[in-house]
Amino acid sequence: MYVENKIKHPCPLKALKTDPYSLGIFNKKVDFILEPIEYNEVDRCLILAKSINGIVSYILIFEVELLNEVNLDLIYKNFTKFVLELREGNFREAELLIICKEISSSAKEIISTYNQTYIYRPPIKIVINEYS
Amino acid sequence: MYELAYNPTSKLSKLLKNISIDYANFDFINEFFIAQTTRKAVDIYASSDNSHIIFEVKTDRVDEKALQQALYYKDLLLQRLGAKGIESSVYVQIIGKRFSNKLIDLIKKLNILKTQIYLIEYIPIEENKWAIFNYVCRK
Repeated sequence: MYVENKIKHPCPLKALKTDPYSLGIFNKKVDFILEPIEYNEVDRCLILAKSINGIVSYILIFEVELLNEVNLDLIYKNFTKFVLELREGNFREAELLIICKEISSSAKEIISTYNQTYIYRPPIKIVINEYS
Repeated sequence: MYELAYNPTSKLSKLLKNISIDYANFDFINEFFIAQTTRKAVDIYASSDNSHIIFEVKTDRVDEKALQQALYYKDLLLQRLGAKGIESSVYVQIIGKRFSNKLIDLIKKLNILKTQIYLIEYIPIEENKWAIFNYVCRK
């Protein structure tokens, strides 16, 4: 229940903002039309709108160096705030993706647990950035 | 149900030490259809002004499927509350006689994200007319 992709890029959020399909994380055939709607350089967060047959859902992408329990909790808090305020509590219409250079084993376990218990929500996805 | 109706303060304050409930506005309902289109009924739904509690009641052993079900109900409730909802104000209480070790482990990990899930063990007494309730894990 824990899946991670790997990329190698100095500024992945900027690259995704310019072209969401550029890093190979998203696929035009699967993710259809992706459009960047908000980018926060300070919080290192990018929001993409995903349109499939007129239905719009959102992908929240956060970038951190090391993903551990503490910043996972903070990211999750921001994610739930977004879903409750802007998607009126519909967690099925929002995906969370975290780009990090390293991930702690406890954060991995929490994400894996989340993905196997919240079965009606899209899973939390992890992308490891191997750029150093 | 009897305790919730006639003596919620003593029962809930003992069980839900970390939850602030305004008992003046406290109410509950059983077999509550949380989202009409899904036809999903929560065993017991209780609420006060700022807190919402979903009780998922099982008669014997509880495993992770009950947790998945309760979390689905929680999501449906959050959707029903819409922008007024706060995830931390929705509590999930799973009641059962016994719990699988996997379930306890999953809840400990999920609660790191402050998901507010509690397990309550019930022990039948007086020829199954009443029961004693104990927390199994809180963190």
